[in-house]
Amino acid sequence: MPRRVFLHIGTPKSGTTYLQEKLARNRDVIAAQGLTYPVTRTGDHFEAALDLVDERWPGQRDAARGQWPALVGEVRRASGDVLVSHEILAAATPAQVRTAMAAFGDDEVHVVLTARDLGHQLPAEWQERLEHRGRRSFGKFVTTVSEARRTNPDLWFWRVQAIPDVLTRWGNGLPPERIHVITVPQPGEPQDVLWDRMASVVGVDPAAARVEVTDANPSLGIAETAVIRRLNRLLVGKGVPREVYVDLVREVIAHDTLAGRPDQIRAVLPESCWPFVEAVTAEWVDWIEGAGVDVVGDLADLQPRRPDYTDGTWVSPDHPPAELVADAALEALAAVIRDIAPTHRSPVRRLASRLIRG
Amino acid sequence: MSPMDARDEAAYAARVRAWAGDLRTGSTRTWRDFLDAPVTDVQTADDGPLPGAAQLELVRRLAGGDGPIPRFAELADLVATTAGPGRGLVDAPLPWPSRRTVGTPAVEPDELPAEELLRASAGVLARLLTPEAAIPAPRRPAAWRPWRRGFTLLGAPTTVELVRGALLQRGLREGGSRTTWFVLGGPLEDLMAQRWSARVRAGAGLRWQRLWRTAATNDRLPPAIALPTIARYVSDQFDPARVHVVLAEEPGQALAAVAEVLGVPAGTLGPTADVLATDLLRRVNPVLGLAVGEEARRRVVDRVWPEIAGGEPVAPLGAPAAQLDWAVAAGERMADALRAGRYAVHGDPALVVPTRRSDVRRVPDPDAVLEHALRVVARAWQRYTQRSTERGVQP
Repeated sequence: MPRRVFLHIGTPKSGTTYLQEKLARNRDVIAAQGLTYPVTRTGDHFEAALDLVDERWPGQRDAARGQWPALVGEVRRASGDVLVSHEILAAATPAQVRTAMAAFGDDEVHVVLTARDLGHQLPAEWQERLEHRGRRSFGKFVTTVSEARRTNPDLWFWRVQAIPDVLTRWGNGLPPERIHVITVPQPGEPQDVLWDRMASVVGVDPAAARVEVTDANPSLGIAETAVIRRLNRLLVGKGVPREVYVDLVREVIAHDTLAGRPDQIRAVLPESCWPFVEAVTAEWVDWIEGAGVDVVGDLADLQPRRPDYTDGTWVSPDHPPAELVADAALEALAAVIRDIAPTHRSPVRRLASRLIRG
Repeated sequence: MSPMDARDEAAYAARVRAWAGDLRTGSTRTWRDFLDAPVTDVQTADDGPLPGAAQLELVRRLAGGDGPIPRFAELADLVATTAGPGRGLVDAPLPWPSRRTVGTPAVEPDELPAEELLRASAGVLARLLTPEAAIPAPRRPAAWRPWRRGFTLLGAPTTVELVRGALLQRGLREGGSRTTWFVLGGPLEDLMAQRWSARVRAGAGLRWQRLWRTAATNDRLPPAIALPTIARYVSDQFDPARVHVVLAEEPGQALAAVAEVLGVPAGTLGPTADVLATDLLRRVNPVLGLAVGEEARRRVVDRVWPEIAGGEPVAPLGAPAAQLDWAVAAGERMADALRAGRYAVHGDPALVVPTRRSDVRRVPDPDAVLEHALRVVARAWQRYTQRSTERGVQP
């Protein structure tokens, strides 16, 4: 019997970081159950996925050259089943998919897609873009997305989020039973449910993976997001290197500081977006049912939950309360000062360097 | 009824294979009648998994179709080995004197719901259409005639496509700075049907009912067929005197009205894809897309589907009962907005308002779709065998 190669291809913002952390931290017990989660030089499969999809990714595309063949080599060396996981694989073109599939010609390839409701994915992807130096307002982001083509898409959002299109590209020629759509539970369900679903697909005992993952990729509230967006606008053309941006803005400010702030106001779609979101979801659900792919979980998880707009609690993600933004900005500033303080030059050395410069 | 033992299982398998062999010859005997008949020697293929009830019943229905099907035994083999996609009865076994203790309960094949046979048909059609994906689409260079009058069509997607084709054939020019804008429409339910058909041809697996439910829940028509919004937009952006809303019962009337405004002869239009073809295609789409990829699926649907899926015209669908009140209200709002517009309206705006007739189907009839599916499978099989013969290979 050929061994199975599971390709977990996305979608971004559907709990993939949590699942990848869970797999990495429990690599040994999972391997003992016959599933290899290959080790790479960076630990995850991002570089390999980037090498395959050949996407412009500031400062990283060149570094990733050759990493897909390297990962394929790891997969070939492994005995038993193998799981490859990265969400940007969802963006692969049909030609890139053929390249990927050709590498596993003798294996039984399974495509796995974790899918989350579109009402969640739109704000989540917007925030993700902002953490990659994006500057667009939420309103403009949603307009761009809703006006773009969802089949054979050019726009990144649909390339990685349009479930039928992603599965048609990756599932081309595979029997539907080897295409697994894992639905992400709605908020309120324990996070373990997602892991249980993934474990059931790849054939490992979910309880054996005992090392837990704390919030692997927390999201930001709208005030916190506004701080990042304004920072991005202020930093345009200022020559801030990518490493500095990642260290200070993404890690220190966004992940370590702002993500932990209490009582954040979550980004929620404006009421006017719901007809679009529900129409797209309806098409996706009918497509998934008709395709006969393996649904793990419940398609009801993909139905966006429309909030109550009449109680006056909805706040436009583009107009968070100014005082909350100011508080968040000050916390961000304090965090940066704390972060650079230990390594900052002493007054004597600063004076010396000024004298040298004249 | 006693539980099945190993000997029973073997006898059951042999009998099912014998029935499959009988059906391969073009027999239309039901499983019930076959079981009652004396056992005879029938040539069967003894290897491979046992075909399910839906596959065998589909073979039987195909045999009982409109006319003889060439190389029927080969088609029967293909159907018997093609799994039905999607969710439904999993490998339903056939009734047998002793009972099974596990698995899907047995079902008389001729009592299977049409949906089950449609699932099997969708799988078969995807398999028959897959080789078509290898044929590239022909390129049709458009003639450039800048001196001809320009037109731009918006609104009802199928009508737009048909009228556009007819006007281009007459040498008219699409677009241009002095273009005349036409917003084509008709009864609201027809607009929705055209929108449904367009989405399905574009690859969606969308159901008729779900299209309506989404629109009613959001109290919003799909933007592509929101005629007053479209007409208002182009009137605001351009000269309202060059904007014409054309309301017609069917595409031929729309063409006549457009041709009159443009001062060209109208002519006639070809048939449109109907409800049955659309409801069948929405089932085939996801399976075919997975088999050949989206670009190839689109090519096949554009090139082959109209040829194999055209059928006798059937009555148009009405709004589903649960959304009928909303549909009437939405139609009345649309009619009022069209009457109040600054653009020319050809046809009576009241035409768009749905009526509460009782003699109209409000959801596609699965039995009628299945009947159509049998015709489409037979036509697709003919193309498939012709192509195989041309290439000198066995299908």
